[in-house]
Amino acid sequence: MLRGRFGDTSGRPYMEGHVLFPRLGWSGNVSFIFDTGADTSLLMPLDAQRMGINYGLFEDQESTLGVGGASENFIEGAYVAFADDEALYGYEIELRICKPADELMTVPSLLGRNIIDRWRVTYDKSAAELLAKVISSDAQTRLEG
Amino acid sequence: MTDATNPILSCLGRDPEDIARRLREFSKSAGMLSNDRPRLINEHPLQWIGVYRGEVSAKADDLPSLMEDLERRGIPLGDTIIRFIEKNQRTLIL
Repeated sequence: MLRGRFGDTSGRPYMEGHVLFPRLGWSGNVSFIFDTGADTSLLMPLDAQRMGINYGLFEDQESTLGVGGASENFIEGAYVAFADDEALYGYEIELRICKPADELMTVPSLLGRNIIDRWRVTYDKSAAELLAKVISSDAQTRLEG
Repeated sequence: MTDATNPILSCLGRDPEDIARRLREFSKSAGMLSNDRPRLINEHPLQWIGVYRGEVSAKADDLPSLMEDLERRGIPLGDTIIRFIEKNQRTLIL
């Protein structure tokens, strides 16, 4: 069972995952906002900067729509992994990468429905429980420890 | 899927135990940011901080300085959670 958490003061739901861009070799851990309203997952500029991303190497982009209006985001194939006590679960997705902007540097990355739809989720803020049972994954490997 | 020839596992699974361990440490750091927020506001108001292995490893007034400090000290940015400590968190509507 994957375990997320709720921010102490904000109450925002978070889930941590490991992101790898296989074509480009960049990787890093990301604390995602658990966002069932997002059609797809989105890497925000602060996390991209931590991973050392060079935006000039992205080849594809598309326009998306959010509460702030339309924006252009890069698209890149990525593997995203999550771990519980028993296994590491991998997902192969097209990850959107938000173009850098100063006003977005404090906004967390989004875990969208392209991954959440593959879990059975318990969202219980009153009990401080954000749990996800993995229904399917693109790869899975058991952990010994 | 548990096939060792799976291309995702060939990238992610070279050392799954290490990835899982680093993820757990990262989650611990993220949890510390949430749970210790009042203390962090008191000690690092309006500063950027980097939390690695559950501890504040660096602080700076701006993000480039923080990243530079972390890199200079060999702290892996990919395993470090970075946040700006606002006194009053802005409402987020995504």
